[in-house]
Amino acid sequence: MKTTTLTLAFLEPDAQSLVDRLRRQERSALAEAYDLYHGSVRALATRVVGDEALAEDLLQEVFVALPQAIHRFEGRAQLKTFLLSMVLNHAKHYVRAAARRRAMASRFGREPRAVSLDGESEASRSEIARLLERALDELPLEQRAAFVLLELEERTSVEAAEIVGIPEATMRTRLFHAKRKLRERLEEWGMR
Amino acid sequence: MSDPLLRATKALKGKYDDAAKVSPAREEAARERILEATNVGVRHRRASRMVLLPIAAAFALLATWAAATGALNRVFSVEPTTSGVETVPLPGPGLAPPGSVSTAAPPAPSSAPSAVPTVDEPPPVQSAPPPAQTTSRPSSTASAAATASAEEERLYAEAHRAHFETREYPRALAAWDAYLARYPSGRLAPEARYNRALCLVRLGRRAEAQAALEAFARGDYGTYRRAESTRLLDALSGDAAP
Repeated sequence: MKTTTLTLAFLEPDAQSLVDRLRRQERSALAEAYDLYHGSVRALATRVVGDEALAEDLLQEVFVALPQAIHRFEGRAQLKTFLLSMVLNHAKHYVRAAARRRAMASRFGREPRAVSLDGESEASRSEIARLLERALDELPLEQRAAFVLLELEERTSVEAAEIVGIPEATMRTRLFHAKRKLRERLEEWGMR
Repeated sequence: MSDPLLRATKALKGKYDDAAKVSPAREEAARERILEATNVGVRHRRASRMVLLPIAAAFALLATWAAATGALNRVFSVEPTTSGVETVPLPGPGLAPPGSVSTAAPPAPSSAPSAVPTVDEPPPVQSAPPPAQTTSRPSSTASAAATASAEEERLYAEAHRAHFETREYPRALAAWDAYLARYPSGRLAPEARYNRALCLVRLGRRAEAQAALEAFARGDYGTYRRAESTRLLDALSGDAAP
């Protein structure tokens, strides 16, 4: 408790006050946390899940869980980082559901096919993005998270490691394996 | 840009950036849903507490009442399964063996005085010792008896049967001797010695009985059977007097 208090002292006064109010289960604190951080949380949820509707559900789950989860917040990171880590911790079910949906859409709709190299037209970009989504669905969640945080969100490996709660080197290793698998898959599907 | 992964990443980033841009109305709707869901959660927790707490309190009260009245013991108690000393019924009035109150000691037959074969009927044994005295027996003996080895229990039970059930005093004396020879420091040795002394009284072997009882009267076994032994010795002395 003493450590938590001392660490919290390094946070900005307003952030510390918000955490305290969240711990007291104040409704206005939750509303304030949403107003401050929903953009970052929604963006990460969308990028990790790859489905707008499911990402919206994930966003709601994270903020609803926040008043209880805040008791585990030790103040070593920012509240925003804590919320983003919650997104990844709650994402598994949503990623799986979205991947099933995409796989079903592929089976009953379009199959991956060779994409022209020009890649400049809207249709071409959309098809390329869809292929990468399907390739991402084949990755383990931790490699998917590494790719999303470092490549799609363009965070530093330090930030990403802090969000996931792992060493920075481990994060880089996960990204390396993720990119290797994604390249292999895209080439298999005809992307050159 | 020749790397297909780089191109695909750029395309996907553009797609997600667009997807993450939501209208203020949608942001507001999500905000309301979250706050409402949190309120519902709080209401559910409160409702659960209102239901569960009275149930828990009632259960605790019931358990306390059951423990205080002994109902809990009656429900969970297990009857002794062995024929060891603990299962022996309490003795009636008469020649009081050790443990006439304690559960670890054998009882005396209710018609014991009439069964005395020869010499004077020992007057003191007509009056049963007061319960307060009989309960002064060392408690460790009772607990030890519960865990006595099967062989020790068997020997003790055999002597007890001959003494208090079939009332074959010569056989009982031999059985007490056998027990004490095998377990001189046995867990039931004090009871066996006292019962042996009673057998000697029954058989009219007064001197040996007095010698055996004196150890108890002196307090060699604490307060265990001390009062009864003193009274027996007095009675034996009185009978011996002209």
